[in-house]
Parts: sequence; C-alpha cells; structure tokens
Amino acid sequence: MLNTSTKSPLPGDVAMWVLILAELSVFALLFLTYAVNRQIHPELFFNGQQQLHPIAGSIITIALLSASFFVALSVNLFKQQKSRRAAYAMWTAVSFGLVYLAVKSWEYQQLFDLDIGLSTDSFFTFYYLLTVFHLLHVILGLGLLCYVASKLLTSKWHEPNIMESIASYWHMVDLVWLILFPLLYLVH
Amino acid sequence: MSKNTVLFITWVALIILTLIAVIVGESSLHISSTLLIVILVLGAIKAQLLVDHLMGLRYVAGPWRLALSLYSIVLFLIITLIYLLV
Repeated sequence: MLNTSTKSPLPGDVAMWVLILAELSVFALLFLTYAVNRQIHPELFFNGQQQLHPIAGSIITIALLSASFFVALSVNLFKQQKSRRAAYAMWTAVSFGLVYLAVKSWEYQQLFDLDIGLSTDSFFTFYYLLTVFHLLHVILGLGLLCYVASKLLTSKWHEPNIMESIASYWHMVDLVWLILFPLLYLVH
Repeated sequence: MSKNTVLFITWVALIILTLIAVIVGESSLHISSTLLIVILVLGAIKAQLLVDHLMGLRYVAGPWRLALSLYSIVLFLIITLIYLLV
C-alpha cells in the first residue's frame, strides 16, 4: 500500500513549478480568448473545426499521455536505482513525443494543401497560435527528455531534482493538451 | 499496490477516458449542452488523474496540488459557462 499518512516534498525544483504556473496562466488566457471568440463567430468556428481531423487529435492525445506515463515510470525506476531501465522508459517517452510531431506535421500539411493558413480566418488564427505555441513547448520538452535519457545511460549521473523538474515540465505540456484537445476537436 | 502499477492503471484510465470523449464528441455534428458538459467533465477528470498520479502531486505538501487541480476545473467551468450562457 502507498503510505498516505506522510506528505511528500514537491518533485523537482520550486523554480520549475513557478515557471509551470506562469506558462499555464498564459495558456489559460489563450483558452478563454478562444472560447469567447467562438461564441462571437459560432458558424465560422464550426466550419473551421470541420477541417480538422479528430482521429489525428486522438492519436496525438494518446501519444502525449503515453509519453507522460513513460516519463513518470522513468522517474520511479530512477528512484529505485534502475538507471538503465529508466533510460529505456525515457527513450520510449521520446518516441511517443516523436509520434506527436509526426501527426501534427501531417495535420499542418493537410491544412496547407487546402490553402488554409494563419490568416484564413479567426478560427485558424487561434488554431495555429494555440497549436504552434504548444508544439514549441513539446519540442523544448523533447529536447530536455533526450538530455535526461542520454544522461541516464551514464551510470554516474544522479540528479533526481533535475529529472523531476524536467518530468514536471513535460506533464505540464500534457496538461495543456488535455484542455486544448476538446476545445479544438471535440466541442463543435 | 506498487507505484508503477498505479501509474499503469492511470495510463489505461486516461486512454479509455480519451476514447469515450472522442466517441461522445463525434456522436453528432452539433454538440448538445449535455454532451458539452460530459466532454468537459471528462477533460477535468483526466487533468486531475494527470496531476495526482503522473505529476505525482497527490501526497505533496503545500498548495501545489490544489493550484493545479483548480486550474483545470476552474478553466473548464468558465469555458462551459461561456459556451452555455454567452
């Protein structure tokens, strides 16, 4: 059984959590602006959403959730002194992150083929703003995960604080997508 | 139950909840108020699972878990109100 009587310390560095709260605040403002604009232009947003691929959005969601699972698993294995297995779990997480990049690229390509860009209408301005901003966070997160995964293969590396901080950042990216996905793809 | 088992169960639950949300979302062209609430509640449950088990904040001291939990719940609540009332 998990010990529920004692409180655990915050995983990672407090500075990372402050950054996470700041990032989440920026995304929250973007989500609320999107929601208000959707109510102002319901038909335009509905037509825009019909151009998106819910299956692609679902694959992205599952890929990001899977990446988050393997990142959390990697942190647990690292704490259990199983560095090599932790490295494999982290590389698996990176692979799922690459699935996200591949599907997102395909999705953008489909839209570009239809001549749909940033200035097509206000729905797609929001779509690109939100998804590209999120994509940049994913790319940064993937870079950090690769750094940790490569360090884990060297047996002398023991920086649980750095690992937990980077894992928390990745989970934040996932949390943002969990809100973004229904807004863009499902609620129409 | 080991931490890794809890993680695995959380992962499976998150994927199942995602698939349910997609099925609900794609069940009709224009989504009704009830389905809207279902999708956003599913989103809030997923966010809570992520905060508690993947981020590992369930047993963390201080206001961090509360802050992260309120983030998704309040955001989904405001969005629901905007969609239903504005």
